[in-house]
Amino acid sequence: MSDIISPTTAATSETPLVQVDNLFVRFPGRRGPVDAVAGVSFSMGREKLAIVGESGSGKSITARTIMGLLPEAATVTADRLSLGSQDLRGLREKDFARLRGKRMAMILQDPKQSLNPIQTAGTQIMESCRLHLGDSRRQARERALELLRKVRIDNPQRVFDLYPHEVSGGMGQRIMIAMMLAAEPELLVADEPTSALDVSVRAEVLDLIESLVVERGMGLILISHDLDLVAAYSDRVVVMYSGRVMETLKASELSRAEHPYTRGLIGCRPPLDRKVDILPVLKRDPAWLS
Amino acid sequence: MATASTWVDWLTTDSPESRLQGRLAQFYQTFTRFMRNPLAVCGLAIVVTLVTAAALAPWIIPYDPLATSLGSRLAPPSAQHWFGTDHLGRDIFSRVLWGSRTTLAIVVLVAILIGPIGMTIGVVAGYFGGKLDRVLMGVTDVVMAFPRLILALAFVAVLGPGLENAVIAIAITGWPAYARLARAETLSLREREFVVAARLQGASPLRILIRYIAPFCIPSVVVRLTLDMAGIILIAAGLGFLGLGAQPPAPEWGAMVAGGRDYLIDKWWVATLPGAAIFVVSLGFNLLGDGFRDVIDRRVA
Repeated sequence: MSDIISPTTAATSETPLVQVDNLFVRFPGRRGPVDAVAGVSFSMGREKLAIVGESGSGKSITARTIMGLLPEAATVTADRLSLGSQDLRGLREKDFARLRGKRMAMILQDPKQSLNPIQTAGTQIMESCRLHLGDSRRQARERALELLRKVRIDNPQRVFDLYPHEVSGGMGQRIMIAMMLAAEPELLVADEPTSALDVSVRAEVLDLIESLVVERGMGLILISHDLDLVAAYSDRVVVMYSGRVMETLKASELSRAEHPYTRGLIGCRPPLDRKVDILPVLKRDPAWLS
Repeated sequence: MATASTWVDWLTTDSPESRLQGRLAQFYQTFTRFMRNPLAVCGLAIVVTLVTAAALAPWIIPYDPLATSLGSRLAPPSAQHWFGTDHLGRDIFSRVLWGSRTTLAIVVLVAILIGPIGMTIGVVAGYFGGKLDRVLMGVTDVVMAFPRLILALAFVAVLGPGLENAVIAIAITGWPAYARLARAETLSLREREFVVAARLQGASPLRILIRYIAPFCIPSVVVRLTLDMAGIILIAAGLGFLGLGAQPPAPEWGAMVAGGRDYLIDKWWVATLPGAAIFVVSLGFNLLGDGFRDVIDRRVA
């Protein structure tokens, strides 16, 4: 993966694209409320920001909070939670529906699950065009074909009429990307966009996401637990543990991270270049949670 | 015969050349699976016969179903009157045939009313949840708590007897089951990733309900409808029997059974044969529904 992209863009000086300040997401639990996200703060411009952490560290919940996709049971409090100048706190479903797709979009993990099984790929992409750009049927069709070409599908005419069960995982994810980028949102959230894909197409899909994001000057939040991938495809990395931000650092400096948790995460990956019998296990320090 | 086998080849191919061929092949497969179930075929035959009889009734009835002939009243089944005649000398066979139209009309009208109504209520309740769900399901439970026939009777009593009112009354009592069914399906669909993806695209709730959720509820609703047909026929016949459905002299199976009640012991055919028609048709719809369920909604089977 070494041939891929070096971090370039830095956060712009104007209003940040996304600003999160002291975010708490609380779920009711049997023994009192549980904070899935406890005091997360970060801000980003039109850059590629990665959020990494173990399962349950709150990275998906943070992204879903921005998208307004939390279960009803969750309560969100934050000092600041905004997309551009739009305050996202206390928005209702109707208001979120207006922002989603148009100003922010999200790519889900598994294209097999996230495409409507009874609509063709083309119809689903057209849906976005018609919803947000007010296209006529014909215009939407044109645009959808163009988008399919943009996501590097060689034969858009054919794929347009395919149903989700007729396409491969990688192609499904491209269709998903086309759907989400139709209305040219400013922010794209990719929640483990390649975890459900074959290893061989992961790099292709990520290259695609990354080049589209750069080309359109969008902001990208890439959620992953794969540190190599994050280092290759993002500018900055937010490391999360147990609902808190452990540290934020440049992707290029990830290998020189100093925080013991980040070091632990890096250390417990199986290396390819030498043989190891027992992988090191994270030693969790309760002090991280304070 | 050569052409027939090429057609079958064309329908059973592994590599359809066009979308149409693929669809037809799929349909053919479902159809053959259905045809392998003898009871389902039996049900289908009964329902097809009913529909044909209803469609052709004006041409195949031997006598005018309304023409009275007091000279030959209460005649037993014979070569002239296959099912005998009733207390006004009307030919029962003709009346049963003509009555199939009424029955079919009621069944179809009720089905196109309760399917969509129940589905709409269920899908809305399931998708939005919360207070709306509680209110809608509360109403559903209240309607469900009454025995269907009794509730239908009450509604007809209020609306006044007649065919249209019978249809409305049966529909009002029939939708809750569909609302429950659609709600259950919606609850699981709501959490599916592709619905989340549609929300992420910015689709409005209405759009999600119509394009992403309702289509998935249709198979189970259709199966439930075919299974419910028998119940609808029985309630319609029940209302007719009590004089609250189609009004005399119109031939309606339930009303005909009621008309023969006085002669049940010595002139058995007057009540029995229309009753048998109700029985056979209900059975036919039930068998058909079971067969349908086995082929379209195999989760339940």
